[in-house]
Amino acid sequence: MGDATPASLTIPVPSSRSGAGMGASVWLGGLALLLPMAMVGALTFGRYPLSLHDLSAFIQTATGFGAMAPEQFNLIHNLIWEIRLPRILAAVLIGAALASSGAAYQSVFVNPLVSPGILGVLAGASFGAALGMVAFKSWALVQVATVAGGLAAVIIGVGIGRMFGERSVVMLVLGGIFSGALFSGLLALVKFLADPYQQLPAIVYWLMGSLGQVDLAQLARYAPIMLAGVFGLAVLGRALDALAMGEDEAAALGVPVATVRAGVIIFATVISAMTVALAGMIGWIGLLAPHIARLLVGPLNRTLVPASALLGGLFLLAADMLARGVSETELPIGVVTELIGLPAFLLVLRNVRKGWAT
Amino acid sequence: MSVLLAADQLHFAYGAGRPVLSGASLAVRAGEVVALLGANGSGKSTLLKLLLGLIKPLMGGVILAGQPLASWSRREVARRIAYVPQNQAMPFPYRVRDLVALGRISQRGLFDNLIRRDRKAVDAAMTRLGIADLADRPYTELSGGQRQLCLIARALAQESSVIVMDEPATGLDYGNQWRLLALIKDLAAEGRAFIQSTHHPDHVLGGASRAVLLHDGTVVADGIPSAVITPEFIQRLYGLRVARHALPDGSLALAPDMGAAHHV
Repeated sequence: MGDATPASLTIPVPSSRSGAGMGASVWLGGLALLLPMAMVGALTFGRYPLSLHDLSAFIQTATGFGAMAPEQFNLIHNLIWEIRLPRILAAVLIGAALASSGAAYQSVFVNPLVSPGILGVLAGASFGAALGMVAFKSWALVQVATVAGGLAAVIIGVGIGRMFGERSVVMLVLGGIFSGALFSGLLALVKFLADPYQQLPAIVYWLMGSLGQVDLAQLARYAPIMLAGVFGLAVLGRALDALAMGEDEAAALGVPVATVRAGVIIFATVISAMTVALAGMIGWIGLLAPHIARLLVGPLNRTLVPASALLGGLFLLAADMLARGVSETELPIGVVTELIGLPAFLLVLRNVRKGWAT
Repeated sequence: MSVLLAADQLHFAYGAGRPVLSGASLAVRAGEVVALLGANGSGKSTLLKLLLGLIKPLMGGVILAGQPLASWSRREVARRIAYVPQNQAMPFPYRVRDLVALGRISQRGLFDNLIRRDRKAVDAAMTRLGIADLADRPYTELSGGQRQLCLIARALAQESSVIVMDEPATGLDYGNQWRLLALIKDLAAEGRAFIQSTHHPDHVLGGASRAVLLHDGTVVADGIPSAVITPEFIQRLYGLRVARHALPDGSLALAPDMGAAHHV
């Protein structure tokens, strides 16, 4: 039969590049060190000057090893516990949740252009939150409505995307835009129907995004669920890698696709909807942080998800410092991330185009 | 030789549409390279998806290692059947080594860390396909031929006895097409079974041990390529008149009748 039966394929091989695996863990470790340092730095940053020296004196006094003047101690105590620490923790938690769910969505939908914002999750959660504020008295119900809005939005966005293009990257993004527009419209309707003196300002101010409204008690309720979500997504890293190959390949590799995908979407959607309940709509981080993390540590989700979470925390922390520091009055954090995010998005597009060229 | 994977009277239709398969049967044995031939829309890809358990038949069943496919879990199926898809654009720059290592999910599961044995299997698969030097390169930067080799390496790392390939020669240049067919032959000689869809009767004559011809949703011929790839069957499958010539070395070649081709 065949004349052409060489023993093996000999395709010319360009020189190899090595060390990518080592680099990933170095970056991850570096980010894990940088984040707590940045958090301490952020504690000292603000209108009231607080030096590292003050901070260490405060900690010594609080633990019984130092003697600070009681008035100053109380002042710093309030500043830290009431004002700076809650918003620092909120920034890190929200940034981490948005970024890790962005990374997870990108793998699960085999699409580097999706994020909680682009899939319409944040708009859906905002609508749920606003509706909850108008309709319910209980905060627990407002939070349930927020998460339900996020889930509804992702289901509608993905459903529309699939209806018109089975595996199309563009159709999924357009489905998300549809879903986002739908829930923005519904949100406008709720705002119109809301009591203009009490409910409306609360809704508007909240959704514009502010970390200032978060307190430690609220964080204590949200943090366990959100951290568990981030951790869960990282644990599902290998499954996410398989899903990033596409549905059929993942199934053929031995992954129970429907179950895993449902789990990932629920984790990612719940934690990103919860960020809306905490501090309103904060855009771009869920798209940008995973991209930059992927450039640093590569696409393997077991490292990508934690690296994205750390980077997202760092980004939001930096954005919040900017929001607090740039003018006399604090800017809404959502506005800051929006304005910084746009130019960074151009970098992402450039990078995505490179990846898709072949 | 033992039957590793068999399709028994498969019926399938997408939604309420026209039936794609109406009673297709075939069997794949160890060491075989089975080529699935048929016109566009004849149901080749559908049949492969049914064999992999990615879709469920309306009637009939797939038998894997003596038991109904539906009774195996996804992971158990993956230990026995691997899939080499048509190579397509991939948005994330996975390193070749990491891509091949995904083949170990069927052995190690989704959560346990890979152990030495897994890494050895990954290295062995890359070495076998001559892509060990590409191990640390991003898959997205490779040529079509190199990507196809990575996907096959992933299937080898899976250590399954059957490998299903969807038009593996698509997108490869002439040289790489034939080198790939030779490689598949060698890999089959080591005891694996291959089933692949193809658009090239010449590839079947030169590279397969058995040909299965699919027409209007059923198998119209199943046998050794020289017995099945005849002008009569080619006419029936593709509506094209061809002549078959025996070459001096005993191999067979098809030559389309170009005069007749455009009257159809």
